[in-house]
Amino acid sequence: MTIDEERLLLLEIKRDLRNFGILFDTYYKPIFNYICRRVAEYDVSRDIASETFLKAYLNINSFIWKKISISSWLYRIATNEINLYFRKAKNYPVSLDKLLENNMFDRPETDNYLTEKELIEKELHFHHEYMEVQKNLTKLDSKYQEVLSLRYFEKKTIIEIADILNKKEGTIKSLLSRGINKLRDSLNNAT
Amino acid sequence: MKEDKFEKRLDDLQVPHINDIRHQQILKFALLNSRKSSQIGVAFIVIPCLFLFFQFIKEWFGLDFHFFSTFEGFMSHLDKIPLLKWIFPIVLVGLPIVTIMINSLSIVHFHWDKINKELLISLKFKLFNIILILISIFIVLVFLFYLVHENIYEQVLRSLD
Repeated sequence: MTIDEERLLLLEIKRDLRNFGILFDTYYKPIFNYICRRVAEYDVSRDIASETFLKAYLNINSFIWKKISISSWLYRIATNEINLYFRKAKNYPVSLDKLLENNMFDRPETDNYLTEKELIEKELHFHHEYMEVQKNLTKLDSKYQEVLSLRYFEKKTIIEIADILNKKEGTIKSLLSRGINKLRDSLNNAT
Repeated sequence: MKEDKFEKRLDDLQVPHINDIRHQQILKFALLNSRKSSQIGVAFIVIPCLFLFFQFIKEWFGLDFHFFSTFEGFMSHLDKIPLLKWIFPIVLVGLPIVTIMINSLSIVHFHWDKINKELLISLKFKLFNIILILISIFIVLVFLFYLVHENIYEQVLRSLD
């Protein structure tokens, strides 16, 4: 979706909130993919994606078009939600998968849920090199995780990353450079 | 040089792409309907709220608006027609009860835990829905109090006389 199309869509949404469905259809897949590539867990990704779009839906009327596009705004909300999840996970380090493995609570039993979860997790684990990078990426500070994942998982440009994270381009470049060093060290230590 | 090689590795990194997202439509439906319960609730309690407001002004401040007197006259006229006498009880009490039900359903989640045989009830904090529920409860209580006062209490007084 181009910037002009986004601008028109924003006007349509402000006129009638039901048009938010168009925005949802356009951006749910890239945002869900971004979250999934960051956290690499189906259940968590689904929760964060729904929280992201709920926040966007509730705040779209107060969205004022300045420099940032709607897609960057959605990535920004998702990034904040992911950071919130990692902060909480630090305090409660038991993962959802471990709880499910130990039968500590019921796994939803609908066929669709299981099929989708299995398919997505298969897709994630099929990319061994990505999984290795992702695992080591989560060991870094969130400020490095954000820039590295947006740059190398989402293939965003420096300008786009600066928009999403509301930081200057110079800051992004320096975070990327330091983040790459830290990630390389982490990967070397792991092997 | 070593750094460049690592950057190149990251640049060429094959990342997973999830194209078949089946839960998307379920989430979209839930999201786009999340405000409907409160919107319907507001529509349902507008008339009872206005009725109580003007009744309150009339009783406490002695201000009698012409349109309100006409409306009350219309109400008592309908009350005499067997089939139509239920319209105002439905509008003034029935709709607030429906509001309580639909807004309660939108904030309360029930889950039956088969293993521990427990019913888990969780409450979502949606302020607007909670306000609507409280207003509706207030409306229903006022009309119930009125009903008790008008019918039962006065009948008791009459029988005592």
